[in-house]
Amino acid sequence: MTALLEVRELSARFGGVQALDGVDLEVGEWEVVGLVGPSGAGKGTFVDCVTGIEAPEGGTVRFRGQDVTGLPAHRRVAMGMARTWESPRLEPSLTVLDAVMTAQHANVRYGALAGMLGGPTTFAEEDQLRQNAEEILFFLGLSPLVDQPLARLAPTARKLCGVAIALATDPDMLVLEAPLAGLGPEEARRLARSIRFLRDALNLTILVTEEDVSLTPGLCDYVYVLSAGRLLARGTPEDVMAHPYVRSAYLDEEGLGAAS
Amino acid sequence: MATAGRTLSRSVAEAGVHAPSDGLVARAAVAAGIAIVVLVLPALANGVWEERIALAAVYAIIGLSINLLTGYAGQVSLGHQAFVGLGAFTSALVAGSSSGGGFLLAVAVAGLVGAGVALVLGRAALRLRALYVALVTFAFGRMAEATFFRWRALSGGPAGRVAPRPSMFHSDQTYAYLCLVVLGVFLLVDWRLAASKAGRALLAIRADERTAASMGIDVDAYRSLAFAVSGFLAGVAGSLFAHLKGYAATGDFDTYVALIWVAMAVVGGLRSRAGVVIGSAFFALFPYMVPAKPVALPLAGTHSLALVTPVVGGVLLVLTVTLYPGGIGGQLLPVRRWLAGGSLVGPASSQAPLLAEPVGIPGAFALAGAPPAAAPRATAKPEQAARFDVPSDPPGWSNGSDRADPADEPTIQLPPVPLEPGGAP
Repeated sequence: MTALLEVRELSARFGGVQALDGVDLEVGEWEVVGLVGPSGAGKGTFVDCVTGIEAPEGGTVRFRGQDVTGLPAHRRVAMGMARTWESPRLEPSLTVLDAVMTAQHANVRYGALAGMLGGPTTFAEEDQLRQNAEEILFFLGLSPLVDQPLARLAPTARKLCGVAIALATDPDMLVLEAPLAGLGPEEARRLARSIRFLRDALNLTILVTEEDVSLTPGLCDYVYVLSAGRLLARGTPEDVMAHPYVRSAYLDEEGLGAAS
Repeated sequence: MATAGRTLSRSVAEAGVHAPSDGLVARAAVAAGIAIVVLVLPALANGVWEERIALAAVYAIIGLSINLLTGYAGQVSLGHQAFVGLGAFTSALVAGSSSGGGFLLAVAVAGLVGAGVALVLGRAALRLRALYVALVTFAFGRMAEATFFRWRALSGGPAGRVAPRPSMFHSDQTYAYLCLVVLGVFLLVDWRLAASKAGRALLAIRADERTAASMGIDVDAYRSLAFAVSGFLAGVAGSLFAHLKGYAATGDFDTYVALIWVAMAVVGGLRSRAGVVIGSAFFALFPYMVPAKPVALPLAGTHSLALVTPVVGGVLLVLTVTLYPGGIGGQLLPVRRWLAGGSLVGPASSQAPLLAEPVGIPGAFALAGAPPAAAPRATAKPEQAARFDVPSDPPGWSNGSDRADPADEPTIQLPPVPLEPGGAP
């Protein structure tokens, strides 16, 4: 069996800037793979191209052995590829529960017109959707927040809510965009452990982007280092952190003290 | 374990939902009172007012149509006169040709024509941002005025086209009831739309199309759907409007009324059904409340008050946009909340402080990483064999125990995975 996600020679160019230049990446089933690089390295563009939000200039994206390069984002979601956003843009007055119910969209069995015309089965299914959403939120420890508007969530809760939204699409693979960004070191470590726990509990495959390579040992099985749109290094977190290029190009700026 | 988890999550859910037990009678009485007043009004009203109530209902349908496109889908339409006008002319054409028998057919065809035209326009504007959609709809409205509405075979030329009422709804009173019933049906549709997956999808698209797509929503399809349904409502409203007046004439569907319709939906309060209906009814009826004859003003001589109508509309729009963004619906929020079973006094959410940082990771998820000292460090890429084993395992918390930190044990007390097995093929 091949890798769940297989990216070959991915290139993207925006306004004359080569955001990605021939990036290869593989994510095997049940792996937590990190995509690490400084701000502006092209991590966000990579995630956008993999999930179908942006169209790449060249290269292929294969998901479950199927070429999905030209597939629109919502079709990839239906195939089991979900993503979170570093800063999700949702209606701020929406409650947490409504946001999760929105993300269950692809798994709703009734049609849009049936829902609009109040078809007899839609009421029961709405109840079921609400219950499923509550269970997802309970699982993530967000039950106290179900009725809160998204605008009122604190950063950590907002990130977890983003994960809940991604889980609501019933994914096989989660692409987490910068889940640890903006958190304190202790919180980041906690959330990193939570992400691994999530993988274990739900049989997920996870691709996660992160700026700080020193956070990857507790999080990732395998790490790709991206710099200026090109792959700089790949390997286990420990190997990557020992890599001379990474040390010189990356860790020196961050300070080696945080690395261990 | 499964049941324990389920009950827990359910009890949490029930605690969150307000219990509408107390004051149920009062609520039902008030709701019924509003319904009765609306239903009895046409019976009590004299001749002129019967017609005006029908007009208010037609405007309310147009308001719902605008609200669907602007409030839910976030697309501003400045060319709604095209859809309403096409509905009116189509309906007059169909009903006029078959001499009365085809009234309901005419209404339906008018709706479908409105839906079809709006769908084509929506598809054409699919790749545009909101501002450009507004410009495209504006241009389309002007174009429709210059072409369709001057097309003699459709619009009957400057004199307009006769739109006869069927014998059953010939009197103004029965026609007013017909309009109210149609409005009621569309209110139900709007309610279900907002409460079902289409409404949620449209709200997500309105906030951000990319985020919506990442939630599995087909952005193009739902934007098209919003245009089509909005066009359907506008077409039906146009049809009812034509048969209310007895004719469909080009002069009734110009850019000015299109702007009024947007204003009435905004002043009423986008995404508030009650607000939109009230705002629309107000904009429909207000011109009749201004004295038609010149009035002697103290110290200012005798003047016509014809200018008052647009000025009041403009002032209301400015007030809504600047000071009261929720519109009439926003001001009615306490009443609406009370009728829905909530409390009349302010909502708890607006008084509670911003949620503190730790609230985010209580319960099951936080325990997963409980002891900070024993972080599960990845040793190596998992063995190929181990990876193949995984999907065959039943999904559950024990599934990853061989790889998870031993300190994760407490999580076993927590509910079993409530989701569909994510990794199972």
